[in-house]
Amino acid sequence: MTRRLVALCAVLLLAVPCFGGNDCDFNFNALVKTIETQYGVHRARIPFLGLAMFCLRVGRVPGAADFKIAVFENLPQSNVASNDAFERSVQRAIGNGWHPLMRARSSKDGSVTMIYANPDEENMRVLIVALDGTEGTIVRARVKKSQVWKWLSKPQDAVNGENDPPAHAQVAAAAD
Amino acid sequence: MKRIGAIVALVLAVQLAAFAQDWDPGGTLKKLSARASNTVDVTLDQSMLQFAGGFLNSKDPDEAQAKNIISKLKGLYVHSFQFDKPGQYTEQDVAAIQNYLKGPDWIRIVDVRSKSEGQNVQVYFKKEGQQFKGLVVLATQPTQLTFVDLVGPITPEDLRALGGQFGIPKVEVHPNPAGKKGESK
Repeated sequence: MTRRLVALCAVLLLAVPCFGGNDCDFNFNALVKTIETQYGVHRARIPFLGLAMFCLRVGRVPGAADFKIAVFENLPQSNVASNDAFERSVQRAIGNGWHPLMRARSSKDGSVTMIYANPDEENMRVLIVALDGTEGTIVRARVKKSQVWKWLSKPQDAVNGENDPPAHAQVAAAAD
Repeated sequence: MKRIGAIVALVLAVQLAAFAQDWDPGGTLKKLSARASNTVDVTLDQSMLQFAGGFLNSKDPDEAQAKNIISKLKGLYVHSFQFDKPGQYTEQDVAAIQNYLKGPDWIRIVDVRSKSEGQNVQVYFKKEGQQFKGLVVLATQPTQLTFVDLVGPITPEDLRALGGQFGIPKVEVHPNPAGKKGESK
């Protein structure tokens, strides 16, 4: 249940819709299928997620798009933190275009959080895979370079939706 | 038979390339990971470093210098291990890493030891001929060990220039081939 709340918060905070199109080249469903097959579960249905996504299409935050989320519940207890097999299966599913940016593991509760990035000239695509006990979440989003700068330099503005990135960051993004 | 030899050579080459990218001295980091209560690995390969460099302002002298340094780097790898209580990693574990940094290619430039806090920080530069090829930071506390591996041309002067940015502390470094202790602020 906690995962569902986190997932819904992520939706509301990021406020980004999935547009599909050229940038949806990463097979999100392949990763979902990998986890479903590996753990013998199905992704959970999030109540009102469809409605939330529809609303977000209207009131989206500029600079972010291509948002997808999958939540898993009732995963079998397995200490994925103690071996690299899960990470390898994720990397196989998403392909070599995604770079492992951060991995945090806890041997206490067996939780794993992995962040992958796929930058290009204008955007940073981010994939977050989190397994915590019997729950798991996958989130993917595409964020404009200038927006990444904005969030990194002033994280509080990511929530408030204020201030533009500095001029040089906009120029750099435009030049790319 | 030649084909098998070629395949074996290719596999070895790929493995060596991977080893060069994210270094685990003697497999010690993997062993520490198995014992740590929390492990955090951060990987910034060349493409990610280029992306990060894009945020820096070429018109600002300090940021332009940092951008120039970053543009030449090939990778940055951080491994941090947190332990439940002191003694879960030993002096032997640290020595196993340090032994790999005692070769002729390595120069210890910073060695800070705090007995009161039990905190030690050592910075090593890798030098091939007259060229600096990388940097390793080994930081230990009673319940935490952090290993930073920076691959690419970076000089002590570059490290000093990066001080105060990206969370890098300001460091005064004085290259000392004899491996004597340096200074840190």
